[in-house]
Amino acid sequence: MVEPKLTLTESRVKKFRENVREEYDYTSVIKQAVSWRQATPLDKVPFAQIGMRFFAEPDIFIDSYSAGTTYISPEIFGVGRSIALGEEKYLVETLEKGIKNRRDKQSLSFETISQAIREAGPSFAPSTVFIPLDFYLVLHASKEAKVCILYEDHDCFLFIGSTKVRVFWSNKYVPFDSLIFVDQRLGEWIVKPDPVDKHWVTVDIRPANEKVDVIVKTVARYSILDPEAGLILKVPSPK
Amino acid sequence: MPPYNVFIAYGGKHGEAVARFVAECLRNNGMRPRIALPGAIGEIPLDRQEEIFEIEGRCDAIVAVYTKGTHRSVKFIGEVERALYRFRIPVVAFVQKRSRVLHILNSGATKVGFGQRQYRRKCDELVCRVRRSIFYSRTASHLPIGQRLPRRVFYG
Repeated sequence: MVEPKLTLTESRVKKFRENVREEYDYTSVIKQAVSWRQATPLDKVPFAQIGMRFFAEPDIFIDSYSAGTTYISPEIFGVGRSIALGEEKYLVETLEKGIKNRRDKQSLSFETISQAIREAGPSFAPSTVFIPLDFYLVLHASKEAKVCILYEDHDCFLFIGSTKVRVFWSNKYVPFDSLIFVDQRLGEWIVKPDPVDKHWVTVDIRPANEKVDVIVKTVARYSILDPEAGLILKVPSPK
Repeated sequence: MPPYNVFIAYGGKHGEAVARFVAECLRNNGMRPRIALPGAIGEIPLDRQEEIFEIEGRCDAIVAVYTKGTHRSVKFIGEVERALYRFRIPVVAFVQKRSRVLHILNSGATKVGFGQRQYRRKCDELVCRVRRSIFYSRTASHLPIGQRLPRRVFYG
């Protein structure tokens, strides 16, 4: 006997999709960290899918489960963040593999950072740096006026003399152990958005027996265009 | 598997008392609380706010204890903003009912409410939300197009 398919409440499906995307939007660093564009039919390069698939209980997608004093919210916190962290991890791994300039220094100071940037070439102008959290205190407590951390609204910047570079810290979910400087010429994030509404995250929700099958993903690729336009700076951890 | 490290931010009139309870609750459920509050379980013995922020950044999640008056706490707002926007770690807000909740908690955090004298009954629910938030936030896989994404199993 074939089990009857669940009938999902459209407004709940819509709300779930909106919540996942909202969480992704405020967690994702891609638009702030690297150059990006939407894919065109001419992009024949292999893309990656960054996402997850899971069975959800039907209660969050069907109104009738919320009755009387019980209200079940149509959201799962963490799903949008998971996609954003997944793409950040993919980006960092691609940078670590693709960047040609690699330098080892014994300490982190204005001189060592400036020297490494100079050695990366006369046209190297980083706009973004990924920094391991181990250096958080060292950089915040720096007494050197020429290298310091400053904040503008929610955004964190590293000043190296007159050079201002946007900072993204490692965390428990996206770990790395070198400073990764990125010039916008290094490459580009190419994304295939949802064909219907053009958001970067697609959310596919289908009834499956007594559960709901959910696929959340983004389809993208970071293409390295100029491997010399990046710098990996390895410095012993101060910890 | 090492225990989850969970940072506790707190503020407001009853913030310290509730935060001490949260620290005890997390510890009793196999997690490692980290909190800048003298004498609390998981106390961070540091005075400098930047050192406290760094420890926060190393955690798996934060619990934001929000009691009446917290919206005036610059320290609390700073710790929650860092978790959401700079360290990008999950935030579970433990919110006293009928308090004026900050906008950042409305859009970026999962919430567990409590009445002023009933917060001790909420340990199980809070622990469940913290575990779920960490589990759901694990980084998504990246695979070539055409391969099936691995199915995650979420436990209730």
